[in-house]
Amino acid sequence: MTTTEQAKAPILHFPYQSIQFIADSNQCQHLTDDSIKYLTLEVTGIVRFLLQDALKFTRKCRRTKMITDDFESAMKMRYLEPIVGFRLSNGNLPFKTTTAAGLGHREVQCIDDHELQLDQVITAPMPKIPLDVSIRTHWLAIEGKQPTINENPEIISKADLTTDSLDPMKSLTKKRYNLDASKIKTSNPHELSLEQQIYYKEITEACVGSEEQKRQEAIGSLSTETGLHQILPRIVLFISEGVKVNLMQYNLAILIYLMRMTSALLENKSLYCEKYLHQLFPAIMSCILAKQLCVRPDADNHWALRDYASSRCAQMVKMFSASIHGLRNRIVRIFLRTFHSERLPLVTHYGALVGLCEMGQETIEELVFPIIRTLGDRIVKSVENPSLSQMDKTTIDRINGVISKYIPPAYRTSRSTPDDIEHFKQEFGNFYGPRLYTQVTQQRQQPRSTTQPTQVSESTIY
Amino acid sequence: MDKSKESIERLCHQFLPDIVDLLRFLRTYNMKETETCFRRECHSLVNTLNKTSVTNEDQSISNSINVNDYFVVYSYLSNFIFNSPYQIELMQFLFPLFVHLYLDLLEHNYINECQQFYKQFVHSTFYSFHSEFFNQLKLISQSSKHLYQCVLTNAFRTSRFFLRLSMTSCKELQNFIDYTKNLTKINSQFYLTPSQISLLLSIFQQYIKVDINQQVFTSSNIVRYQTNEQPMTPIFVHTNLANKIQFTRLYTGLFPLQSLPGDSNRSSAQYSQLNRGDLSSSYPQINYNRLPNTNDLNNIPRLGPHQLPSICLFTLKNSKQIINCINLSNDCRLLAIGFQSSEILICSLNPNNKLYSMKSTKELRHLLNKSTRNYNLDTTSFIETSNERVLIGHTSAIFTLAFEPTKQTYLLSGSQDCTIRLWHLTIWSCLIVYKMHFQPILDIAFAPIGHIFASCSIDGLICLWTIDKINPFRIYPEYGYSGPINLVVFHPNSNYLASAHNDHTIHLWNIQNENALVRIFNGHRHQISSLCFSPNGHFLVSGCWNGEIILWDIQNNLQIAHLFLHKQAISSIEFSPLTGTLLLISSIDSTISLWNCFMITKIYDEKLTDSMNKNLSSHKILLNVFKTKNIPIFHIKFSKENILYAIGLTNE
Repeated sequence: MTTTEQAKAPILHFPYQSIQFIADSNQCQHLTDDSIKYLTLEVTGIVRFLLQDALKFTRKCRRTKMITDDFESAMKMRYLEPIVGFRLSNGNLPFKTTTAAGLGHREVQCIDDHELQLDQVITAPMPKIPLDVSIRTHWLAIEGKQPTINENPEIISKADLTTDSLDPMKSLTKKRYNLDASKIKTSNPHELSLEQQIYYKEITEACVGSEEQKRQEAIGSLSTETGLHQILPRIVLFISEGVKVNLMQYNLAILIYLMRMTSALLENKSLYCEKYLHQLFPAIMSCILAKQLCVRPDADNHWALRDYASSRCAQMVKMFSASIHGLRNRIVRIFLRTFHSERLPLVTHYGALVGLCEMGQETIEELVFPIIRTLGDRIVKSVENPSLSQMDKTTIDRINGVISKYIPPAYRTSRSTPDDIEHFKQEFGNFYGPRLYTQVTQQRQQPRSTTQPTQVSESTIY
Repeated sequence: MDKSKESIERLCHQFLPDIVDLLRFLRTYNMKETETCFRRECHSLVNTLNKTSVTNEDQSISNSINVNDYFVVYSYLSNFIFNSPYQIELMQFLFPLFVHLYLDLLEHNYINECQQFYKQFVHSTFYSFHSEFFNQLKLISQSSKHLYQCVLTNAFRTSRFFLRLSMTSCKELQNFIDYTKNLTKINSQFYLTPSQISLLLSIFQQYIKVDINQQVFTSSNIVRYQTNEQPMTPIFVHTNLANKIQFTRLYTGLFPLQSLPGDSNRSSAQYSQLNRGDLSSSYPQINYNRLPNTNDLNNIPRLGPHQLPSICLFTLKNSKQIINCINLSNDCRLLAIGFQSSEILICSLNPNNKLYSMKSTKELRHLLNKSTRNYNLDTTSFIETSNERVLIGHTSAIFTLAFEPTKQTYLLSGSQDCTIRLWHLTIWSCLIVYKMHFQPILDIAFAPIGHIFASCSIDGLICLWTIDKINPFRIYPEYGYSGPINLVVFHPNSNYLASAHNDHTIHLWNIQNENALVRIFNGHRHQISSLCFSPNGHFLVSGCWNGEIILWDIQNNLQIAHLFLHKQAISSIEFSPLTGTLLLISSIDSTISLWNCFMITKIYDEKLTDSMNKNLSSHKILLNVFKTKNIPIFHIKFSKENILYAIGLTNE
């Protein structure tokens, strides 16, 4: 509302009819029109002044909302008898609005005055005892800085976040507000020494080159070298760009090499990859979920790449989920979303399934168990499809393999012995239920094996 | 004339039975003096009635013709002012003119015309400067009877507007008026009839007083944060008071003046004598208020722009009763909460520190017997059970609480029942009830030296008390009730007292002399909600209900800075102790802001404001804003360890 509108907005004024009505209900039927007009004017004036006075109390007590007590105080101040009975515990006025019959269907406010049954009052459960004032303490600021604790709100507002993401330059100026915009340093290219440049060239060439011997050495160097901090961003960039390009050209071999480089970087204890996850994760995820990874998908072993990448993915989640809040959830959500979108090919579903299964016992129990049933249905549907390709057949076999590899051990540890086939059918559907039942019962008879399902067949990669 | 006489007679007849009754009553109780007095007054009353009715009638006859004049005059002047190069100063004229033309119309019962006048001339920019006044003016637009009931309009009618102008703009206006006087009907459409000109001039003469402060019109160098240059709002002061303001030099030193200046030739000699006796004998030793012991001093970080304070927020949760006011003791050990239900709750903020209580008589006697020579009797002991205690005594809602600053053993409470009570915090009972005000008490403040306190109330009075007397030793102001007084605050040297009035001004009183109004600070456009003096005594900071903050130079009566950041009422203001380089402001919009006061004054002194507006951020006036999770902050205070204690309130 603009100020002009505010200035001209109507103010409190009692309608003539209501005063007439009130006068009538108080045994003053024979008032002339003039006297009622006068009364209206007077009453309006008095109530306006009372409200002004009540506002003084409201403001004195620094309330943002006027309460009935304030009005009561204002009445006392003018030596009027306060009206009682208009106070509710929740602070609302006990009025309700109805439309009156006659008088042109105007809205009328009246007091909701329902009768109480004495029995009900007596037998009703005791209301909660009103709590007394309690005091909580926390640090709002420590030496001028707000600590990030639960009691304090998030320091960065949502608006700031959006502007930050839209215009990073702006946030930069905001953070260094003591500097002029012109004084902000333009990003300085960080120059590598000649030796580092040579090392970078050699390593990247060796990793994607044709000589297996050299590659082994390069990967070993990546996983053990301690002074790689300066070229780490470049290597990460190399990996992510490499994955992008080779994914389009279905260059399976190179993709596998790049994943091995990633693995080496993760193994290196002296490197700290947290800053580069935004580049590494997309690369890995595309290796897991891509529709096609090689030129001849029915013949080439792209399954190995998917398995390997998903185990790396699980490893990274385990490594960084402690320091990055919500990392696991985000990754798991991506897999689940991929799994639930029906129009994607079965290969991608395979990738998502493996990715989820690699995440460990908990994820399998919580997320993989519920989706097996739909997976079974989907497989039954595609098997019935007459135009089932050779590719899909192998995929189904692979999926079966994954399920029999991960699910029975997980089931065995999570549920207790009495296994019931009906129960299996109910939980995992008609397709996988019986299968899993037989596998689980078999495994239960065997002694507990030490082999963990997370051990992926890495031999296929090398 | 005959008519008017008749009407008076009728009036007298109307009141005659009452008067006769009263006289009879006085005679039966043998109150002769009162009777004669009353008779005399009665006569004079009849006389004045006679006169006023005559003048009223004259006016109504003369005014009935020219309602249109009001519209012409106002639009004429506003036209001139909005086209003038000195618009920003001359704007001040418009508000008094508007008010008095409007009230004139209303007074003569031209209700419709007056509403029309309001609608036609209420200007959007103009409205935002005085929105609260306009609201009140709108409220009374229905009947001329309300005019006299409304406090504000009464104040308008009995007071004069003070305008501060520069010489140039004043001359501009004068030339303009001369010019219009000499205009003839033929050569311009801006022609005013003689009656219109006289109307304009009569309002100028009757209600406006111009104070010329500079030769040339220059824009001010006020430090601004998110505000624009705006015309000043005129002050209105009661005509009697207007001639009495003493703009003398202030003593802004840190220590109280020990000797009171003798004022012998005053009518109320016994008062001043009493005062002198009271004050000089009962002033305690200079207490370096809040100054910790010397050995502590080394460990405490001095706060400044490079050493920012820590803030500890105490949140009061789920109170079933309605909390009206909160105060912290000077050592931040005790918290006092005043409830709508007339109770006062004292609690110890540190749960390990129990409350003290006086030992029982038996124990005390035992102690006395045991150690007759030892004067340092430990008469207090812990209350074992709880660390909170309720004080009951008032009969209505508590509106204000104040701790005694030096020892924290006394607490004052002001209530809606118009009384002030003094509580002792080791005996836990009420010692004295101070009765003087006849309307609810709004604020109480202790002088930093202790012993003296001031109270203000809705009845428009400020009373000064010493805690050992049940009568106030001074009452301000003498003239002109212009509505409630919202706040009182003492200057750090206890010689001056600032009070926030309902007309959005701050008055500064010298308490050494009787009734000496020394400054009026004018510039707020909303009700003032918080006041604070800087520790060095040179500055005053005031925050108002819409969140605007003004920093004043009290010596020269100038505005130094306008800071506009908070969206709602300012609840409390604190300077960093000793140095005063940091300014902390809390608001009920649940934020605390931290300002670099040193930088503000520096920018002002060096007149850097022009260059600053371009890159305000580079000067770092605003150091930080601390947000809470929707907890409105009600009170802040620095503890001895330079930690800011903040009290918030939440109702989940």
